[in-house]
Amino acid sequence: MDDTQIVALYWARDEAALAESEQKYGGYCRAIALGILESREDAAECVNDTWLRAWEAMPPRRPSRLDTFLGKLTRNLSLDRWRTLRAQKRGGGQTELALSELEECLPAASCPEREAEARDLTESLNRFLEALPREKRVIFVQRYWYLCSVEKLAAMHGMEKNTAASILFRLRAALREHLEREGFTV
Amino acid sequence: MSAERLLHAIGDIRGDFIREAAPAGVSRRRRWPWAAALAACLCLALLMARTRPASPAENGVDASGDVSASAPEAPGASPSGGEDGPVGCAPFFGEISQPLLYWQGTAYAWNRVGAPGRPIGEPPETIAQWTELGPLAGVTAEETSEDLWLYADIGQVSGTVYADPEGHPGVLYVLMTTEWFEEEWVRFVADKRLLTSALFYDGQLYYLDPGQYPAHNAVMTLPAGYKPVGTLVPASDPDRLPDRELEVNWEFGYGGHTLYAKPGYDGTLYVECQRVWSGGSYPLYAPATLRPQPQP
Repeated sequence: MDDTQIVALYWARDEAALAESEQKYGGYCRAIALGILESREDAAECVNDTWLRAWEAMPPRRPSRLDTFLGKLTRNLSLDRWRTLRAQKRGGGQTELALSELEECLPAASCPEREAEARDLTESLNRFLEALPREKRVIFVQRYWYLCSVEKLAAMHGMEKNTAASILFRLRAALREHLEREGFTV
Repeated sequence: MSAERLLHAIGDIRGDFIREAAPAGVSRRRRWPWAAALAACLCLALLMARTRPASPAENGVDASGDVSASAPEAPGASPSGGEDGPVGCAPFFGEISQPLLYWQGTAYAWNRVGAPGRPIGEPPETIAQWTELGPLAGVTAEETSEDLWLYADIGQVSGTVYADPEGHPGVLYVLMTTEWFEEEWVRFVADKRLLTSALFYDGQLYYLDPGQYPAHNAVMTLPAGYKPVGTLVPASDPDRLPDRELEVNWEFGYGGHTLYAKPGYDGTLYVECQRVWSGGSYPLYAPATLRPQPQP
């Protein structure tokens, strides 16, 4: 089933949308979640949450590309879960946990200025990535979007781990310079 | 700026950057292993087709909405374009140009989604009264206008063609078997307007978004000056363009909904539809225009 038909199922409030999403993009989303959480159980839960979020988002959203739409949802959910798990791990974690819980109460995330600022930052990142040679851009996105380990990056690109780390170091330095030039305070 | 904020912003980068970097282990399609080989073939076909000199007539559809019989559309041209297309070429129907079926010098375009409001593969209720024209004469990747030949590059296809020239001019149904599905009904239409949702108001046809219900271009607030002018009635026959006042040919969703018009302005109408939410529903307004809207 193509993406348009799956999106149509979401819009028609047809629960087959969830099964079709799982069938077509379950593996993709699980791999993203697993890269962040390193736990199959947590990854599976995040992927289930992804379908729920997609269900809530469509309508009104009508993404033209379902793969990146669902991938982004999975990534965000996995990062949220990772944050919570990290908080729990820290010494019984009540302070971190409380802070993490209180974060949900902060209105800043929905503040229009903050949202606009986040959009500007993303646009700036897009400009930075666009200017990079393809191979460097791919390495950057694999590391900081898919959160692949440096070892995995090195293996995928047929290079030594130190070379991959060195490329990432230079990319981070270039990004810092780019963001400073565009007025973002680091 | 915190690292978390940066990490969050990276999450929203452009989709093409994300796709090109998908690690090999992050497969979006684990099923259909044969698809990659077929996609490669289709890519090659697309490349070869694109090298032919193009002419305006090769668009295949004229301004009136009729599918041109003289110059079929080149196969393999993805209507969704580069950014919206899947990874590389895809071998699935709907993602390549519509196959054309020729009968009596007229080209009929593939519309597997079937008639509006019907499940995929469902024939019209009256199909028993339609005339059986015979089996498909064949399928070819070469340009053709031979009767009952299917012009498409889609492998083995067989089927029986049905027509109802009096009752349903411009529509053919084929009970078809392909490499992808067996014995399903596929609708072919000579009039492109039958591929979209249309309503009839004040002597004119208005076209809704050709996507799904509610239309993706629906708005939350009705523009100023619009008044309700009636309730839409589902067409009894979605294989014909609506020709009665307030009739809509796409019964899935829009029938029974209120139509809004702005006095003295015939550019756009709005149809009220519902956005269903887990906590209830609220109205959206789908625009209907005098010209067919592009495919999403």
